[in-house]
Amino acid sequence: MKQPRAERADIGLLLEGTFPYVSGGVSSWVNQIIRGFPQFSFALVFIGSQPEDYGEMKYALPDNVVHLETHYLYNQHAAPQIRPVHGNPATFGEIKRLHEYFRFSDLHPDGTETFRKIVPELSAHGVAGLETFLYSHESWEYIKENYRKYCTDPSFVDYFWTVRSMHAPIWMLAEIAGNFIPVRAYHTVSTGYAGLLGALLKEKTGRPLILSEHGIYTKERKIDLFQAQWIKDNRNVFQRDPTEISYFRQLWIRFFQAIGKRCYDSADHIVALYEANRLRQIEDGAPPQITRNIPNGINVPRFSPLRAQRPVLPPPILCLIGRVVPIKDVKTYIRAMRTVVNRLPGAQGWIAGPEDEDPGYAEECRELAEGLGLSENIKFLGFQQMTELLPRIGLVVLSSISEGLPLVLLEGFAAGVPAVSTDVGSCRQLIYGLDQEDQSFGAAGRVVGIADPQALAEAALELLTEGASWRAASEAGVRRVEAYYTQEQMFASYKSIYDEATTWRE
Amino acid sequence: MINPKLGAAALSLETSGLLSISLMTEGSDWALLIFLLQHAGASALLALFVWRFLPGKYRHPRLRVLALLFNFSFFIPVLGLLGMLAAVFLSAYWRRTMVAQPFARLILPEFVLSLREPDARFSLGCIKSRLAQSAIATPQRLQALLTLQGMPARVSNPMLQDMLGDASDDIRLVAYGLLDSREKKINAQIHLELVKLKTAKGSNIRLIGLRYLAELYWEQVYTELVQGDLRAHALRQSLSYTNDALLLAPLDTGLWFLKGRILLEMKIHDDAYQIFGMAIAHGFPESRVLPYIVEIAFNRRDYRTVRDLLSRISILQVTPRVKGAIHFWVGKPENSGDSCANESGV
Repeated sequence: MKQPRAERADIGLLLEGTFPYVSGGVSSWVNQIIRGFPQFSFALVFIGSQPEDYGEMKYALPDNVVHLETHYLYNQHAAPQIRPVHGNPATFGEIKRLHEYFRFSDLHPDGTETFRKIVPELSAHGVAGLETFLYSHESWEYIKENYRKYCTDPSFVDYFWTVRSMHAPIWMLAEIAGNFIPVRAYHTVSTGYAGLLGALLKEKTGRPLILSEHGIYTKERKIDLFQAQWIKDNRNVFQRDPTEISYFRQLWIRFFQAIGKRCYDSADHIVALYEANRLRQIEDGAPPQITRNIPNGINVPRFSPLRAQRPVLPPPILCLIGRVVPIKDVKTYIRAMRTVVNRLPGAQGWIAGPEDEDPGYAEECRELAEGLGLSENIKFLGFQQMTELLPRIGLVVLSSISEGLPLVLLEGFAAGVPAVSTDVGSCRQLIYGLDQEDQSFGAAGRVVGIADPQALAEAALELLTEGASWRAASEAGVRRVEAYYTQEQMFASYKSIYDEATTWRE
Repeated sequence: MINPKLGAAALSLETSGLLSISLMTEGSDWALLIFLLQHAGASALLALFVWRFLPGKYRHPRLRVLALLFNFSFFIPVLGLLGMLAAVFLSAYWRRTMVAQPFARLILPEFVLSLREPDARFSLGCIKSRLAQSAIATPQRLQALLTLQGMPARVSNPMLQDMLGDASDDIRLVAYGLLDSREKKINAQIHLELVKLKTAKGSNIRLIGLRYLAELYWEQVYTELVQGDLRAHALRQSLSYTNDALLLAPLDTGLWFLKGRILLEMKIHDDAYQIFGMAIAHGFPESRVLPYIVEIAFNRRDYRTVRDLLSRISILQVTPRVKGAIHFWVGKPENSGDSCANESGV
């Protein structure tokens, strides 16, 4: 499919690993926002790891997307030709100041100024270009100095290459920022690389930067990095301290914290989906006065007619709606189904969502279902139309270990299907209500701890076997979603932000 | 590269020059000019001839080297050539000695005991209490949690399970990740063994597979990776593979012991009692089985047997934990009081 190109647009959307090449909650939200604002034209920058990881576009591009460019950070780029480069000691002084600001931001309040000075120099002709980083004597000396001062891992070779590969994408992002078309405001849907790109663009053009965070990128990266097997630890038995994670792991975590912090510092509006995430953003360095909550909203009228189709008694069908990936912890759901089927032999456990993102994990899930003797009861349906699926099921189940504000729960509520969810993200708020008024609607399902199949099964059985509590939960869900989580409310909040950002400095 | 044509051409040109000057006796300027031209041509060819002899690194810059060689043979007719040939051989010889010694002598590096010490070392122990106190800052609790990675699964898994309900997202997710990777490892092994077992031929190979599967399912229960219905499922699987294995190796005392423990976990006390008896009868060390028989007796509320058996155990070598039980039931055994005191202090 040919990518549209334009000279200028209203909003520049910066997307990392999501719309339009990956399906999922965030992608659906991006799609919803673009279609919700036909009066604005959008220019999209998609940042991915490498082209092989993504197939065709998963969404049809809305008409108001006038520009789309895709970039891959770990593509095999031709590195600049090796030749000795003269590094400017003053520039390295600035870089050192910037690193100190990332290390101890309280002691170096002038970090933003330093960042501002360095950004224009990142281009190929600047004094802090990629060649300077890769080939200059000063760069080598600076890396050596930092190794001696901070590194607790004995291998300098690994340190050197970790530093190189970690920093390389910065110049790529600087190049993307240098070539991006003029827009009136930038909107990034995460921190991380997209957020850093936003910060670079903001410094380059001075146009406002809006950040909407669904999960907390830095936190999710950190959890990934704690588990990652590819990070080396060369400490020997005398050097190893079991309470201290390996230095390279720390380095990677700090890198993402630093670029996240940079995005927070550059942003003009920081949007969280719910209060706990907003507080987390502030803890990670977001200036409190520019943060706010805008919960997700859905197109309720699309789902409300489905309520008429729902049976009096709950159908004994549970459905996990989501991609089959480890973060959804589909295995806990399958394990819970063992208990459900023990007590309710006819029960069905459906899994509705694409399996192509992590085929290995999907295979493990199938093996688990088989190993637990659930081949007859667990069905992998692949991607499904929500409007066709929801009237047939008794419960929406979410066994995720991490979530933001999941749209599938809201869509289920709107169709009158209660939910059992793990206590992650804003699920507790969605099911039990936030403030007193919200709580007065009652519980729209049950919340259980993560990775606790027994509790998940008990909660599901309670709702499925007691018609009265199922109907009460269904009613509470409908009332809650209509009162707090409609698309109109979300669009109104974003409209005020977009209006302000696009007229700013005109 | 030796080029004989070049050498021969140079030689013949030089000879003809010498001949022409010796034949023209009247010593005119013309004769001298002709000789000099021929000598120059011969010198140029000679220079090229010798240049090709030179090792690669002496050939550049090309024009200057050629000019030098030309000058040698032009201005010092015969000696120049000899000198150049000597230089060629010398340079070839030098190169050989350089190739022969690729290693340079270095100064011994200074012995460094360790690199930079980590900032803050975690104080020893207290992991459990640190994890339980949500008032402690998350990074410190996270450190305590990571320490569990290095501890035996049976001890750390229940602690990790507790952390799944923690208020902090980071703690929950890291605990989940650790548990998940352990679970994944066992499940992958189970899957692999199942595949192998399907194609296994010969009772020996089958026995190894069956025993391993029984142990893997037992491991899930023993390390408390599974709870509730899944625990019951794992116990059933383990029991079924143990039974299959016992059909192939009815004298294997370890299998009888494992079966006894599975039945005990399933709370089928009568069968467990009987199976433990079989294990002892087949030669399994009594001292290892007796504590479990005591447990069965205790569950049956047969406290007299508990006391009798424990007094039998008290003379054997037992673990400190069992010693505590003996102390309670039988009274303080002689010469083992200290270890009990230590135990209670841990």
